[in-house]
Amino acid sequence: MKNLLLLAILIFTLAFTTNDTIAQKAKKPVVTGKVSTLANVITLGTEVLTVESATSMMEKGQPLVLVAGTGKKAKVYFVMNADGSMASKKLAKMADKELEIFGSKSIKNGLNVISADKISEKMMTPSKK
Amino acid sequence: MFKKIYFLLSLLVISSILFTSCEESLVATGDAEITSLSNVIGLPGSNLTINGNNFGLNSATSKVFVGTYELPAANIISWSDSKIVVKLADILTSSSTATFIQVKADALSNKVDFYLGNTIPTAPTGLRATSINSTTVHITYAASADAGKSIFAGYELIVSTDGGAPLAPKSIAKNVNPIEVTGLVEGTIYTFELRSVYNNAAKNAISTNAAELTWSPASRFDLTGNDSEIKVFGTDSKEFGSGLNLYDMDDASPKIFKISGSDMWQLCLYTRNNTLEFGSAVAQTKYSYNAGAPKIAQIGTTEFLTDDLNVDTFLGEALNSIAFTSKVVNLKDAKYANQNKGVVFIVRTDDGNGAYNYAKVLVVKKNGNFLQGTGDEVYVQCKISYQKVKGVPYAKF
Repeated sequence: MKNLLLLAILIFTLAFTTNDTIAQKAKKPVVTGKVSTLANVITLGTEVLTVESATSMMEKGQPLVLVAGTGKKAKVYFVMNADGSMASKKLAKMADKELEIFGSKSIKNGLNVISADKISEKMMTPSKK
Repeated sequence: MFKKIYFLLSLLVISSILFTSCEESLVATGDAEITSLSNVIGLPGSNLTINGNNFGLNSATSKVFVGTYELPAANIISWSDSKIVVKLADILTSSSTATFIQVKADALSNKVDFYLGNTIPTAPTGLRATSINSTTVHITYAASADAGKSIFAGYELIVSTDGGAPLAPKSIAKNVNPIEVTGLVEGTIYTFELRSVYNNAAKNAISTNAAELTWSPASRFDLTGNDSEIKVFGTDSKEFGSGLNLYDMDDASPKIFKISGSDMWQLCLYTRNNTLEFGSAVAQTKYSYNAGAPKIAQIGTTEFLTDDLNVDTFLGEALNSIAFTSKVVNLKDAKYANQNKGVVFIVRTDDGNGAYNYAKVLVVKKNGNFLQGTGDEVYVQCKISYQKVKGVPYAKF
């Protein structure tokens, strides 16, 4: 019972974390995935982006998104910077990599949104023998 | 007998009339007019040639005036109907107020501008500067006291660096203010000398005591590295940051951080409980900096109420001559709230080793409000002039 109460307090605290408080720096990525264009996602395309093609798409106004998972379980995230802008520029720079995004997730107007503290290439974990 | 005397007297009268008429014909028959001077500036003791028409003969009634001063006859070297050469009297001094030359023949001629002695125009004063971007500076000045004279041509700007050869002087028209200087290098402290120039090709005199100012250009940022306006969000924003780093080394531009990156904050915004506080993050104690203490940023006592970093932000002194403290500013204070313009704060950031970078930060006001946006995602927009080179408070110190 006591554990349940503590868990509830922790969940409540995290849910209402704003700019005035934070428990700790995020240590685990909130999402891991690959960069795609929104158009490619909607048309169920299979285009694999390079840094060059992603940059070109971004410059033409095509929104870049992060796709986590595959098939029916795939989720599409719009990635935002802390200044309120889309993080397309950063995503384009790492479009050919699998990415880890640190920050917080939310749903805005039905869209999955990540407010990114940090975007980095996914580190390879050593395989267990 | 009487008839003979009467005849002789008549002859005498007629000849007198004829003689008088002949003499008159040698004197000017029209109005005396000065068309040019050999020099529009002259020193006491120097010669001056007056060109014109209908000067007539030099007579006891002919005169040359330097302003209201009548030159003695001894100073008239030569005189003809179209040219008079005079020696400017030694009694005239550079402090004389002569502003014209005038000839009196039958009547007074026109007046022609002439400047005696004071061949060097007074310098402009009050040079102040603002950095437009990393290569451009604007300089304002108070006009020379001689700027209203017809002889006043304009200014000459000489730009140099400490120990370096001056760049080619740049001519500045007298009504150009501010002056735009381009092609500079950020962090280099330039000396700007502004001199007054008279429109006299012979002398092209420049003032001996030019107005002087030192200044360095600084980078300008209206956007973050994400090409977004620099928005510092309110405290209750769940997605976006309330902390501003004036120049993030990775992005090479200003960057907004959430509280999870509080160790990168320099300035911040606090909006909870209907407050509107902007200022040094280290002085804002209402935040819990669990992710690390903010960086030191101090705000200067000088500030400008303006909507434009290029206008009304001119300074004639080094920024380090201003007193700085870590503080939070209440933007709801009447002096900010009760007017329609934004505010520019002078800021310096400490790298932790006592070396400062200097900046000007404009908090924009739109439609009479600092706070923009709605709901929890309210924000203030900033524009930043940032001197990337440490220890350069824009001007010489």
